[in-house]
Amino acid sequence: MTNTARAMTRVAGVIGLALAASLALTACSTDDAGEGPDKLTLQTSWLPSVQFSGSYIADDAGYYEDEDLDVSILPGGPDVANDAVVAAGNADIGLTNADNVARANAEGADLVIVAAGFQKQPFAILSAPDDPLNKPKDLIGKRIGVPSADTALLDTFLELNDIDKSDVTVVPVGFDVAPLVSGEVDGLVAFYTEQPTAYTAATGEKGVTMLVGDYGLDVYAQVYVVRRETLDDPDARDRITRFLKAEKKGWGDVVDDVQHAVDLTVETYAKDGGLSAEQQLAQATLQLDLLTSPDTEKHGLFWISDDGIKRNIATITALGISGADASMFDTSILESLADTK
Amino acid sequence: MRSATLTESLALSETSRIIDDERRRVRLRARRTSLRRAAVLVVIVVALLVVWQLAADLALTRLGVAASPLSIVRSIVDDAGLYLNATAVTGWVAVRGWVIGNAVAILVAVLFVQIPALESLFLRLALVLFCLPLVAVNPILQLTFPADTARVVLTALSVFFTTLVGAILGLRSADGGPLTMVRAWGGSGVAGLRFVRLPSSIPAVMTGLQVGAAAAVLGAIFGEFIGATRGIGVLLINGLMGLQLDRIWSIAVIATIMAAVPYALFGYLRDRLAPWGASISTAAPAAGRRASRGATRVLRPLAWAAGSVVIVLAAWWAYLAAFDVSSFVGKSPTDVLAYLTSVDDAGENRAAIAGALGTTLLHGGIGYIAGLTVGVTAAVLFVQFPVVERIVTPVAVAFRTVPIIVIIPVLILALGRGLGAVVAITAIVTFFPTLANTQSGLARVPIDGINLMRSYDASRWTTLWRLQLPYTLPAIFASARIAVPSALLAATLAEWLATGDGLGHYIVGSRAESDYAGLWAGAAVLTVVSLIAYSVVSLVERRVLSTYSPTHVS
Repeated sequence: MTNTARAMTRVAGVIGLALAASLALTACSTDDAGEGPDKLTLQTSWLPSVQFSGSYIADDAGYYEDEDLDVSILPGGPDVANDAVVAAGNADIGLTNADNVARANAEGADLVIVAAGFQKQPFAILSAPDDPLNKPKDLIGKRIGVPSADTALLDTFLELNDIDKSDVTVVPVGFDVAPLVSGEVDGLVAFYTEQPTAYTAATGEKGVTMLVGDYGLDVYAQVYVVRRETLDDPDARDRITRFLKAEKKGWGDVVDDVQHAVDLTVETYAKDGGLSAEQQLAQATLQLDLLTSPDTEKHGLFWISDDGIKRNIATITALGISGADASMFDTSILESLADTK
Repeated sequence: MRSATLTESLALSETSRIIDDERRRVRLRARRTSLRRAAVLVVIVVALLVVWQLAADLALTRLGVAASPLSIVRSIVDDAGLYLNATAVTGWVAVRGWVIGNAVAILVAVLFVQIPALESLFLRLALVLFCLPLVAVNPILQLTFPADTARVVLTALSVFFTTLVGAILGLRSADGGPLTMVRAWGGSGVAGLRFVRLPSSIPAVMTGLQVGAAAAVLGAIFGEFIGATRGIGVLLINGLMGLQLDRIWSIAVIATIMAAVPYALFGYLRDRLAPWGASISTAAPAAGRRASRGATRVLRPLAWAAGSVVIVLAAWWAYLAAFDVSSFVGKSPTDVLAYLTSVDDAGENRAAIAGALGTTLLHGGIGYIAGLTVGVTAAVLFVQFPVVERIVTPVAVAFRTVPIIVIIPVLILALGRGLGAVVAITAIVTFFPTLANTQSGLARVPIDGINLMRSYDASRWTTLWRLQLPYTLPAIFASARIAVPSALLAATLAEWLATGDGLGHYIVGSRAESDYAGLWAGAAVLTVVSLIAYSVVSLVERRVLSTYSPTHVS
């Protein structure tokens, strides 16, 4: 009995040691605390690409440094839950969509949107030019490819436009454009800047895109989101304010010089991603449609208007997410930055 | 007298000359045969490449299915720096995860074998880790550790179980004779370990390390799905997004080489270090215990099973507590139970999970059975018609080591997104290990047995049915057992990346909707089902082996 007990203790010790050793092997040292710029972590929503080029410019041109910030830009990916990364405190600020924020909040997170990178919902229905889907009614009788995470989006889109679900054949797809190229589907739920570009590259033809945002499903996208407690802490709030100031400047540069944003992305920040410069340029150009709006002309990039908030809440409610109201937006930081460009 | 001796010695030298001649001739013939074999292999490989090139040029590339060998080579040469860099990054994660996963597995195996109580309690925990769906584990690890650590942990997890099982079986393979000898001479448990168990476990451990190489590459690539700036996985995702066929296929080739090189290396080392053979496949199943009588026979395993369940649940809670996982993301067993039974939508949740589970079981089940059947049949055909073996083996070896994460996109391109693609994927992960195990099992049938059958003038098929197959049953079952979780894992990956249904979709969809209780519930249900299926196969295995192959049980 005691023998077994002793053996067990030894075993536990050995396992503990092994675990400690393996963790020590993999952990990287993070304890270079002390004076220096304030550290801040930004969780982006996908692998490095021109979609985040504003942040790359802010980093490269020293805009973060000017604000006394040391920003780590974390890559996202297909299996990253950005909202959760922020909610769990692993990043200070994250990029996601307004409806995702509402979902996270409905599940117990307390996230607040402080800026809107994309003024429009970038989701679109992409179709082939010889069989175009120009308006919602065109979807009737068609086969539409939908990625795993976006089923609810298409359902709501159909509902808002009075189309019976049974009139559309939903085909589950992944995140590539192949099913449309091969003719397996007639339309594809796509990201406005991504799949249309890939489609053109693959077929040599320009696909037809219908933004779901133009037909009732409009939310802010690529929003900057923080935990509410971050805003309640004056120091943390100040860091976020300085960050957004630098970030806004970076994105301003993107709007002014798309080619530079593409070069910096392809040659530096995403240089190991094997991205095609032409496809990135096409994406960056399309992206301008999302970055700018009448609101941003007047108040500067990232702007969140009262109308916009109303539109967002209406869409979010239509998506069947409960509990969303205007408190999930905080425009005070943007207002304080309204003069800067 | 004297002349007789002379004649004798003359005869002797004559004999030795003849023997020498014969030896030389045999050696020459052997060399010629192996040369001829190599030549045949080269011809076959070249022929396959030419067929591939023609098919790609004529149709496949235009259809967006496959890049041709030449364009793959061109892509690799043109972007050599890019690929090299990515290989180094992913390789470094794979190597660390592989080393840690294997080291811990071997350590745990030694502990299990030396202190059997530990095995009874903790082996199921290890099995649970093996059955956990990667789709669910990945985001949770990402939220628990820094990205690099998360990737290494994921890789270590994907390597751990197969090596653990291999090492346990290997350490046990010497039980009986030699170990009794050590005990009889007053040797301690440690002496038995050092002089008998460790040396005799070498082949099985080496096989584990070998199989682990492919698993490590899979883990390291999949680890990049939680966000990375560099690596093979990054190139793969970007290639898919941009529909760059050359990129996707080059990655598939490179990932295969990454897995195949260590695979070949450890195969070679095993044959050098332990030419006496014995691999995971032929060793007896771990469960062969002393049979006890009456009630204890039922009660004891039940008690151990209950203990294991407690340990698994405790480990679940301990993980959440030890790493201080945020309650938004980390859901405990009680949360999952509530999700399935007591929350408002519990009924809907159960129905949704049950429906998704049905789909996943269909995907996994069809592929699993098809993979097993075709795998065994192919191995039998190989033994019966060696020509077939020579043609198929190069392809089989390549496929054996392709990490599924790169097979999936390629198969989707080729087969579309229907049931066919998912079934093909699950069939492939089942097929190749089954083929390899069955082949090596068939190769190990004692020559005496075959000679006996021959002397009775038994037909080829009688020999197969009466001798070879019964001898190979343990190998077939070993692969059937381990293929259960692999088939379900592959099904969930394919459901996420291709078909968008089943539990793979449910788990990813829950994550996308921040419904973490749903994610944990989906993962828990899949794990439990995977465990049950594994146990059912083990049960059938024990039944069948105790009837047909008594020597292999206990």
